[in-house]
Amino acid sequence: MIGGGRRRGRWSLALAVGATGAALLLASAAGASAPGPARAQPRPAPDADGWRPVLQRAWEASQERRYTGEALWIVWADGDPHVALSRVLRDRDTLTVSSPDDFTVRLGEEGGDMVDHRQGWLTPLPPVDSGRPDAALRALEEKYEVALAGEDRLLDRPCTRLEVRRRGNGSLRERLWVDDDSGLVLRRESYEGSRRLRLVAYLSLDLRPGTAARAGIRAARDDDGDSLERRSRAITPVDDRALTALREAGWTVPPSLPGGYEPVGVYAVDGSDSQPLHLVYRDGLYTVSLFQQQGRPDWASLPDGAQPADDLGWPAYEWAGAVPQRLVWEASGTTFSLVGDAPPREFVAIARSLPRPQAPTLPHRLRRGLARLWEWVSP
Amino acid sequence: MSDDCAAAAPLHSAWLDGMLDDDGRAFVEAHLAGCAACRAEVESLGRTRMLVRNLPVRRLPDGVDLLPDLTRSGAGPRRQGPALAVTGGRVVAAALAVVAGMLGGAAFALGGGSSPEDRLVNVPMDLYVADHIVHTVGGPLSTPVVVDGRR
Repeated sequence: MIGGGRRRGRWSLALAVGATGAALLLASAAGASAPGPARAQPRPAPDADGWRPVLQRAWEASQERRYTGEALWIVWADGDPHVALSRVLRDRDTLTVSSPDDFTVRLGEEGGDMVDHRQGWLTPLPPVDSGRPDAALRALEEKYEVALAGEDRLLDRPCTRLEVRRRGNGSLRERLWVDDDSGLVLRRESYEGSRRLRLVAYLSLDLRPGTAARAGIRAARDDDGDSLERRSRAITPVDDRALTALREAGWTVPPSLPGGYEPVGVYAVDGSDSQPLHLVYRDGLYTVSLFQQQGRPDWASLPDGAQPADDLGWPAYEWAGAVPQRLVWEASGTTFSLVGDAPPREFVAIARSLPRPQAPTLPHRLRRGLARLWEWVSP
Repeated sequence: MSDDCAAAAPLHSAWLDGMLDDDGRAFVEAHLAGCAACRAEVESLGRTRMLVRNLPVRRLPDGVDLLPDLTRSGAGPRRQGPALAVTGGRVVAAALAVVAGMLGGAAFALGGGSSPEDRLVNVPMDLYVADHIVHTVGGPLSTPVVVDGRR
């Protein structure tokens, strides 16, 4: 770590958050109201658009189903696999992902919160940006080709396997196993070319979670919740008018990012000592967040694990192998933080498209140096 | 040192410059032919002078007048005056150049880095990650993000 902050990253947190996504994907299929295998819906016809109803059902399942399960996460970073497990509960209004000791993520209709049991704080999260499935699928289609890839069987359940490839070069990006019965995504593998990036898979899944299972997964938060400090953070969506004003004031608001990432939201965050601007971009499959703060980064404030980044060509810090990826650098008195799950090469290309440190011109540098000298010698 | 060496040594520099008359040149060359110590001294003197001649010539900045007294009309040809004025002007110019150089160097060095008016901000990366995650879990292909900052 560069500064004095405590190391907080935990696979458990990874699990928790990852489980959050997985839970959203899988919960719908596993809900108490989920139909049994005998009532499984017919498998989509294997035509060119056969993948569409499969993903449509996956989206509906992630919003509606209730279930509990144990998820396995493997992330390959620099060739080394990192493995973690988490418990997931999708209840009527909430999604809870817990990992041993460290983090619990709860998402509901009114948002949710993130609990760090080690740090002892609770951070309210904004409402889940669920969007609309048709719009999400259209965005997906613009950049990727989705195809039915066959049938399979996971957790003793029949599944439909899908493959997502990059348009143009046809490189594999995702393999998905969607439960025919519930619509939940039971397994997801992410690739960048021939390189494996991530694997998320359910090791167990109960589509009719009982009271005991719910109590067990909630206990981690309920036991500690009373003593946790709640961090209040206001996150306000920025409308077009305000966005125009921000642009004119010098904030960086790219109309899009390299690789087909289009803007899906801008938020003003009420932070502790600054008001970061949060821009969210998606390419239909991955999401990238760009945070900006007016001022130079206090490098000592970075969480554990930060190290100089070599890929950008200018001074920056990264957390090698961290998920999601993250980069921090300064340009022209503004601190830029990039967070995202885009494939590494795309992530770096996005960072390179953003403002970078500029060496001052000689007259500017001399003028600034003389001003500093004068500050020193003047009474 | 022999008497011949003592007599030839003062003439070495003039001999190198070709300023001796025939007798003087003949005397020095005859002595150098038989005196290794004086040859070594002459060679050393020659190398030193060559180095000095090869030093870069520094031009004074425009506007710096080293010979004000000489260029003014009516200035009398005083015996010591012009020489002292030239020397003093060079010293002043050199001093100015040194001060300017030091100031410029210091300004250049201090002018790098961040602007003094930029304030320091904390980078709440953990909260950024949490805020990011919320936007990744909504759709049918929302990535189940694993959060891990360790390496």
